[in-house]
Amino acid sequence: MISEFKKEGKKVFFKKNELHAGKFSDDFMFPNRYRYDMKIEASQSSYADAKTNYDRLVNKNINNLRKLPNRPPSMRYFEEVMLKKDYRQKELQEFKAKGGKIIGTFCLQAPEELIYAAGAIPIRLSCGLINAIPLAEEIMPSNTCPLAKSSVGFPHLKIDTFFNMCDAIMIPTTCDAKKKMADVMSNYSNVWTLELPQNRDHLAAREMWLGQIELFKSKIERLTGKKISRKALKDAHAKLYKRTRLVRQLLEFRKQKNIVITGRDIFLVMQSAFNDDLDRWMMYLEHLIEDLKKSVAENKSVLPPDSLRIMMTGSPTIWPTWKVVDVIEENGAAVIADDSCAGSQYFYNPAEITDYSMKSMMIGIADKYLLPTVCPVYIHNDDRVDRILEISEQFRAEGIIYHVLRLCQLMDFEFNKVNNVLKKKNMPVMKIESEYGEEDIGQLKTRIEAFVEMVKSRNSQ
Amino acid sequence: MIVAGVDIGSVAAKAVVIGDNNLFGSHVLPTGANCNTAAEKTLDEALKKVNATRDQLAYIMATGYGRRAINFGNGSITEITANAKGAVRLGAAAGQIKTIINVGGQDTKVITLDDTGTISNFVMNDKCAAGTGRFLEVIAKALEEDIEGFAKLSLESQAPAVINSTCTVFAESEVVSLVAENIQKKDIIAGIHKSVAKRIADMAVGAGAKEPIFFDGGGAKNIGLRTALERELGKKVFVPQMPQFTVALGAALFAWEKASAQNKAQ
Repeated sequence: MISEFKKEGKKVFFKKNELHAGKFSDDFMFPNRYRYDMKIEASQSSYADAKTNYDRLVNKNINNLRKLPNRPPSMRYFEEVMLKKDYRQKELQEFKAKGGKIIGTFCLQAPEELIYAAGAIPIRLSCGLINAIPLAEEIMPSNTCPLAKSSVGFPHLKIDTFFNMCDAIMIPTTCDAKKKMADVMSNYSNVWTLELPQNRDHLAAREMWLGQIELFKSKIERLTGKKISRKALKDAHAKLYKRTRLVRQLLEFRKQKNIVITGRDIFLVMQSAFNDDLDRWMMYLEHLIEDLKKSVAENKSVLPPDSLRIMMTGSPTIWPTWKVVDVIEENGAAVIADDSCAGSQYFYNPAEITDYSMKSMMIGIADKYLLPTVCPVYIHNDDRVDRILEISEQFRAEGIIYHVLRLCQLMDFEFNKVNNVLKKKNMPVMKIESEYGEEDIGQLKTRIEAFVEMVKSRNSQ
Repeated sequence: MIVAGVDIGSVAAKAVVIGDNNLFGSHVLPTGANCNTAAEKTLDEALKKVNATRDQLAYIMATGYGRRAINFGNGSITEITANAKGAVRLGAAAGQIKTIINVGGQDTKVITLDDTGTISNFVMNDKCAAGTGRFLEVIAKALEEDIEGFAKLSLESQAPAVINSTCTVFAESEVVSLVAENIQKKDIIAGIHKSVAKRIADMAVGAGAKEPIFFDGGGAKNIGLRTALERELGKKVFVPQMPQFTVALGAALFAWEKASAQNKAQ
């Protein structure tokens, strides 16, 4: 990536007429004039420990799920995606060998319609392993959330090759950590940012964001060497629209009285999509939906039907660090709803398009990634409170677990408002603060079990 | 019918045996490294005190941090739920208990109850030693006092020293420098108690604590802490005779309910 440009011996500039609606100046490469060679290395045993721990967590998660009765058989496919990374790495290598481009992403703001329309493949990058953190702490403050640190450290652990295969890394400015992470990572990768407006309640914000999406389009066209045609974008949009419909069908099954699918399996399905082939993933999702229809008809339940119905909200739970959701679902509760960007919100929203002109499609796509998301990115986020109320009602949640990763300031700040609103509606809420380590599992079990006991006792009166 | 509740805390393992005709036996010993062994031993000792044996027990309810580790129990519940059960029973003399403050070896809890004695909310400090029994232990050791003498000394102070550190480890250093400055031991201890009480009171007020307040856990045995807590809360607290056994008693009461239901079913 960087070395390619150095080889050419010349700087890369945008030509003036390539700047689009946003009218922002941004090099094709992240503007970092003081780029330096970051030595991010660890001891030999650190690499071995990281791989061992990663495998241990992956196997633990999957074995915990396999113990459950009545699990839909199609879940096997999604387990394999997580267990057999080599297979996908090989597929992507072949894709690259044929000239294919890969875009690494974080969060859910990457405009996948444009990536697919350009013939490229998006990969959402890993940020869920504790062993990545000490490496990251060499080049960023330790007083940052574990997710951001894991994002920065993971590529250097040599556990998989996805990061190294990326031709560009797309980072949305969803929080301070991500903003600064972009600068750090620009030292050793080709970072593109997507600048989110601070407030999305006015037209200028939508226009600014549209400008960012247009800029992204021109960058990816430059990367792939060809313009995105209307037809290509229309087809990509149709496919992702279908994906959204399928995901919503999947989520509907969580409304059943029986627990036909656990929260963990939903997370598994959604997070296996981080780096899987889109068509194949969608095909198995269709199989899964058929399985679930059967489960409903046969009155099957994976967890006891009297499990406490919990909605999880807050910081996401990223594979393979599933400590919190594991403890919840193994102590008398089931996660029947969530608003996680790595869970049910990931492919939830469609791009609503009024016609197939390039302009209309771009506006529909831009709006999709700005308006309906519930990240605590914006100054005003009453939308998120609305969404929590809506989801908890639709899925008949009996309690809310508000998960905050330590130092996730934005989520933490929003807790009081959410708690206050829910208290008025007599909805029990418990805040769980945690990090990526497993030292607090005992304490978590006590809290969550006590919460379940408390709510069940209240409900029985 | 005889039943038992076993509360395996991170520091101490407590057992309470209850039965017909006001039968009551209890025992406490350090948990040590093996939860199951400690639980068995403490239960057997409690049984000895009432001339009973384990096979006579209709139900054993486990609670506390080590509740999953014991292999001879019939069921388990969290110490929060058990605490509420025990406190409502023991605190009846003070009225309908609305709040429980439990200062344990390694954590501190505030539990609020509604008018029917059901838990409405609970807040726990289990991430930091400050505000727990561990904090007092560390300081007592640094001052070469045992906890009981430590507690009584604090009551003699007219001018508690100001302790600034919120961290147990740094507070220990601060105490050592106060000793070097010739501040009187009783004033330092009173200052420490005030510091702990303040932290607990903040937690309680934040959780919406209302009177009557029930104060239990091992920390409630400390008269110095009790006095400081009442001062910080501006309210009186009710301490049962055996504050360390409330949770085990609560577990035993649940065991009684379970055993009675089983009897009815037969």
